[in-house]
Order: sequence, then structure tokens, then C-alpha cells
Amino acid sequence: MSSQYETLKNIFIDSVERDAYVELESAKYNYKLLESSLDKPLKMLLLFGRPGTGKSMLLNKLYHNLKESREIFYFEAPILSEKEFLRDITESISSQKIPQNMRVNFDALLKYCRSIKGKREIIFLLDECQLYSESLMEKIRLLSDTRVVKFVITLHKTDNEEIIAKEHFKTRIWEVVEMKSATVEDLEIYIRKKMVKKGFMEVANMLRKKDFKYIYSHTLGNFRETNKYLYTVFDIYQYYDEVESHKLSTKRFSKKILEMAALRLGYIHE
Amino acid sequence: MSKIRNLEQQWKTYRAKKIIKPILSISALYALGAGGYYAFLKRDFIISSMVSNKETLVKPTPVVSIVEKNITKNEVVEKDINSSIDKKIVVKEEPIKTVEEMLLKPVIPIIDMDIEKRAIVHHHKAKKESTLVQARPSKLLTAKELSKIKIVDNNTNVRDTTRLKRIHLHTTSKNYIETIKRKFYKSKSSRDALLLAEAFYREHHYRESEKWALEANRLNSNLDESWIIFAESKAQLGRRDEAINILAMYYKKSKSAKARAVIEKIKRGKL
Repeated sequence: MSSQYETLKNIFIDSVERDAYVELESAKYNYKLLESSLDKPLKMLLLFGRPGTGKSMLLNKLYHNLKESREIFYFEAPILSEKEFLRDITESISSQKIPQNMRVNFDALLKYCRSIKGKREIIFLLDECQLYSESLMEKIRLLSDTRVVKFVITLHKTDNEEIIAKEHFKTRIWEVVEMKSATVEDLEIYIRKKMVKKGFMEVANMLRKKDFKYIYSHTLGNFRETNKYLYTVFDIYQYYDEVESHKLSTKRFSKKILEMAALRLGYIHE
Repeated sequence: MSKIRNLEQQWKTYRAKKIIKPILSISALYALGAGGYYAFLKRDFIISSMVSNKETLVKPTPVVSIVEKNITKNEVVEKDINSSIDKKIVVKEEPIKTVEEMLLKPVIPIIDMDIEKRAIVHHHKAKKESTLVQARPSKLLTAKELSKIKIVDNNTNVRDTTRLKRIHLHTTSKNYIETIKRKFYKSKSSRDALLLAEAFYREHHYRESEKWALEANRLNSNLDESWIIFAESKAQLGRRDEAINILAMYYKKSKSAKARAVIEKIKRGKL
């Protein structure tokens, strides 16, 4: 018989799955802002924030919510090769498979986009754009100028800020959505909701305000870090539940395990 | 599994350090505070001591110096005894030069010899009793000595009278003279003065014995011994004629056999 903590720790495996999305008030606001911006005649939308603030999750949610109603494509992983990127864009727009031995002519692609202007509006969601090269970003800019293709790009706040600063991007980005790091309250809601969603109400209630504060002191509102931390916590919980269950309290969340997890992840040291 | 155990061990170390750190920092703070307070107190003390040093420097110190002065032998002797007595003795000593002068002063009354004898006998008895002490078996004795004590029965110790020891206690003349002197200054008794005269005579301090005999006589002129010691001291100092004249004068008044015997002694040159 497997421990309940095994299931619990798996909740916190970092993923951008749709059902892993936890709707927080701040995220809800950003989502609405992003959705409404897509209806505007904007060439590009920038979604930026510190790592682990939920940019990918928001992008993922947007894609899943709009994929039925709009022509939307989500590039979850960054495509670093220019050739591959253009091939994927072309295939998405044309709905045709391009043979491996052929390459996309960028000018021809622009021409095609101009030819369908006013007839179609295609949205591309590009995650982790800080990894794209400058020349590729330039091509993205030219494509968005056709007003047929609209790009929603995500950037880490600290990275490649010089790209955003460039004049041609400034003029093209009409809407900027900044994702802020979660507060302690946000984090509490996020963890609780995640647990309750999977039926671990009891464990969720064991966590006290000071436990969330302790978690926050290490993760600083980064959802990715929080997931990693809680995964480790419940991994240790699983061990004690299976091997030394007498050491576990059923009333209170173990501070000892929280500290042990922090030690394992290097948040604190001996 | 072992990973978790190791982790738990790490956690224990972490917790121990976490507990010790605040204790150490509190202790360090306390020590720092105490040290600061001590330094503050010490600073006050230094300042106060500096101030007091200044004060003492300002105060004029009394100049003490020893002035060399020639003192005659007589002056030294006079200072040994109470000055008031000395003065009186010196004053009285000077006129004893001739028999005629002695007739004028001091006034020699008639002495009741019976009373005097009883007093002397009683005094000797008391003296003997006071100086004889019987030794008793004591725990202060050695184990060997204690083992010699006869044991009659298990409960009572019986003193072995055959082993009784007699200890004669003697005081040194110096201590004795000092003691009697102190006693005399308190009591101003003629008997104490006479005892002092006798003591000095025994020690061959004839000038002193002469003075104290005269003092005893001044306080109580009925004391036979005061006349005799006075005369004997004179004789010892080489003034035999003076001694004989004094005793002769005294014998005329008192008919003292002792005085007569001493006169004979001086005449024969036995003194």
C-alpha cells in the first residue's frame, strides 16, 4: 500500500499542464488583460516577469482556452534554430508538412502572409524568448509587421532586457503584462488549492500560517521553487510515513521535515 | 533510506547550532555590556583617583625631622618612670644629705610591728601559694604519659598522687617590674612601690631601688622595709655613711631590730 504522501509529492512536480494551473487573483487579472489585448490590433504582446512567476502557465492556459475559437499556436519550448523556427511557423500557417530536405524562404513567407491579410489572424505564443537570437527576433518583428501574425512572447525580466529596450521592439510591443512574484498569501492559496484539488484537505489544514511564511522565506514567491520544495518535503514525509510513522504528527505539519527539505535543497546549511 | 538518516543527522546539527548561536550571542552581548560597564566604572575610578591624587598633592605635607639632642643619663632614667613621680623623687632625693635634714623630712611615724609582721607573713604565704601549681594528668600529655595513669575501674580515672609534679613558675624580673609598675600607676599603693624597690634592689639597680623605697615611704611612712631598702641602696651605691645615719635616725624613733641589724651589716662591710 503506497503512502498518501507519494501522491501528494507528485502534485508538486513542476509542469505546465492545464490542470496544474491554479487560479490566483493576480493571475486572473493578468489573464484577462492578455486576452483582451489579443482582440486589439496589436502586433506583439510581451509577458515578462521573474522566473517562476507563472508566465508559462498563463500562456498555456491562454492557448487551451483559445485554441478552439482562434487560430493559435503555442511554442512551449524555444526553437533555437532559425531554419526550424521558420519551418514550424510556415507549417502552422499553411497547415502543410514541409519535407525535411526543403527549407523555408523567409521572403516567400512574408509574401504569403501579406496575401492573407484581412482574411486570417494567426496568434503565436512563444515562451522563453530570451533564448532566441537577435536575428530570429528581427524576423519575428518583420512577420508581426504583416499584421497577419500576432506574437505573444514571454521574457525573463532580468534577461535580454536590452532587446526589449531596442527602439523597433518598443514601437511594436503595444501591450506589456508584467508578472509579479507571489506574496505569502498567494503562495498559501496556491499550495492549498493544489492540495485540495487532489483531495488532501487534511494535510492542507495541517499547514499553519508560519509554515507558509517559512516556505516563502526560501522560495521568495517563485512557484517553480515552491513546487520543488514541497515535492522534497513530501518525499521526506513519505519516508517517515513508510518507515518511521511514529515520528509523524497527525495534527501539525512537521517543522523538522520542512527544515530537512530546506537542508537538502541547500536553502539552509548546517 | 540512509540519505534520509544522514539528512536527519544534518538537521540535528543544524538545530543544535541554531540553539547555541543565540545563547552565545546573548552571552557575548552580556559580556560586552558587563565589560563596558566595568570599563565605565574603572574610568570613573581612574578619574576619581586622579582627582584625589591632585588633592593630595595640593595638601601640604608636614615636615618631620629628628633633632639631635644631648641627654644626660639622669634625664633618661627620669623619663622611664612617670614624670610626676620622678620629679617628686628627684626633689626629695636632693635634701637627703645630712642627718639633720632627714629629721625634718620625710616625717617618720611609729610603725606597729605586729601588724607589719602579719602583713609580711600573709604576703609571703600568698606569694608561695600563687606560684605553686599542681600538675594534673591532661589530654595534652603524650600517649605514653597518659598510659601511665592508673585505671581503677572502667569508668573513673584515679589520680596517681605519687606522680604529682610541682612546677615552679618564675617570672622574669623585667616582666615582673613592668607588671608591678603598671599596677602601681593604677593603685598608687605604697606596697607596690616597695615591691618595685625590692625588685630593683635584687636586680642591683640601686639608684632605682633607692627612688622607689623613698616613694613607698612617702606614701606610707610606717613601712619598715622602705627605710631599710633605702639605706641598703645607699650603701650599695657607696654612700655607706649616709645609709648608717639614716638607719640610725630611724632606729631612734622605731627601735627596729631589723634596722639595727642592717646598720651592723653595713658597718661590718657585709653589704
